[in-house]
Amino acid sequence: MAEASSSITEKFFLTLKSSDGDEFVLEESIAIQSITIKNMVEDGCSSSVIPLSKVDTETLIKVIEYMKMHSSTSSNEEEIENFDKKFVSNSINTILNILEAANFLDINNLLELCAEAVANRIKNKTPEAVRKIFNITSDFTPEEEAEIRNETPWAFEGNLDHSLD
Amino acid sequence: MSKKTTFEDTTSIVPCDILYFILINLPVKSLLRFRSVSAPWNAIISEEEFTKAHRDHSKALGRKKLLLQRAFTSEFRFMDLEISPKVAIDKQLFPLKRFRADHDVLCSHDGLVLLKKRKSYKFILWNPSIRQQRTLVCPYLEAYDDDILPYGCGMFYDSVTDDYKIISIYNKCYVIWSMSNMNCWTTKPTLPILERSLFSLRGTTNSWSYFYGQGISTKDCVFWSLNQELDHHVCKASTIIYFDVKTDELKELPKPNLISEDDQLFCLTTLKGCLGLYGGKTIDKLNIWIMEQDGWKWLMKLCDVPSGFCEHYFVKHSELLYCTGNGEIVFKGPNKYHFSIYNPKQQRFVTKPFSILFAKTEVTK
Repeated sequence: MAEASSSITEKFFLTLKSSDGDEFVLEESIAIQSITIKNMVEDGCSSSVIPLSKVDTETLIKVIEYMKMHSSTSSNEEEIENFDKKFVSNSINTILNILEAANFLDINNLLELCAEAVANRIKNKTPEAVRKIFNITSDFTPEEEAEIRNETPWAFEGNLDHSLD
Repeated sequence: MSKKTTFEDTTSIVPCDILYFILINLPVKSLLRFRSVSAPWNAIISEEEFTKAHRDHSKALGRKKLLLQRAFTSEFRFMDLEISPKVAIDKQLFPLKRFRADHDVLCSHDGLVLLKKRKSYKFILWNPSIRQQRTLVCPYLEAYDDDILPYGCGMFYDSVTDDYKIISIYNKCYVIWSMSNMNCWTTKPTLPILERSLFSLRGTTNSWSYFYGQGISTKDCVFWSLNQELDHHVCKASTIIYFDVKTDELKELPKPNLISEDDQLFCLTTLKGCLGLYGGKTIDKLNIWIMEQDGWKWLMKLCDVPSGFCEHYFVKHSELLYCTGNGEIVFKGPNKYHFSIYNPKQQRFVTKPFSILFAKTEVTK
């Protein structure tokens, strides 16, 4: 296992296992876009199945889809751009899950793509909608909240979006 | 780990380190609104470290807004450079009522705008993103006539000391203001070149009633181009001066040797975060150079330049505003009512009317 040299052109495959127990076989050259997986391969612990206890099946499918698109030499810039556009049109919750997986797997491009996508989706929303999306219970007293609002009342003006997606 | 526990929000489905990546991509207005989401959100957003990281992130992405001011009013519009100079994404009236219709924009950088009320020696430093402003009173200018306008003004960010500095140039001296030392002004005698009456500072004329140069800010530096004015309409030979952050003084930049005799007259701009230089004596051709780390480089030659861009117009009303993400170059001009977009692939200019008058770049989101 440790003698596997990266300079050999022969294809290596890795098996990734989601938190739901599903296994996915992926070409090593594609999978090592994830720095976490790359480090595991370099440390020689990739001979068996790689367990990804923090990534569920649905999310892992998306992440693999992304890695395949972004590694393949045949896809051109325009194709990738269109793919990314479509990719971030998933529901906010899906993107948040992918974001968390990208952070765990250390795939910087994917992390940036999703973080920007979430920011774009929530930038015009009300604080109430944001709380619901992120499942946050406000810990402010009504007085404290009013005080913060009064510091920049103009930030609450305009057509704000109440929707949750 | 210690950082994590400070803001750990047990109710949220999103861990704090991921939240950080999302928040850093939000516009300032949204961030101010989301301070009211919860105490942990407020804590992250209000942290000075986050504010700086957010500014640097916006700068790194090259997110700039174009600031336009309606002539003779205090109405400002903010345009998204990646959309079009025609679509306003925000509109604001300058917040100080006593200033309205009676001020000049001296320069702007990193989202900060420096203004000066006419017939006053006070400056106003305005941050439209958070809608706050600060009055700056320079003690060295009180002795001058009330109506004094600087020949040139510039602002830059000193990354070594993490400080913003403003340089304001007059005929006998120049003054330096530093943001970190509140109300700390320094004055120095001006450069010999500036004392000679033949020269007038030419950055961009922002107002037709006054004539002063806006400094061109790049990382850790600010530049001005001086044009030798032979008479009112004909200029010949430009010189670049800059503020040297190491020695804290104005200096003359050696003339780039790539400038041929024919291209003696040029203007400065910022392109891709670097100092850019453009000009050309031939009426329908314009050369652009950029100063990278290892020196000046020729960037491109623009052909088929509209006739309004000929020499004296070029000086008075035209200005290279910015370069878009897909490589198009946007000019103000050929006159003060229009802007022009040059497409390098098609080698063509398209001219469109501005909805409002005069413009200046360099406002980060």
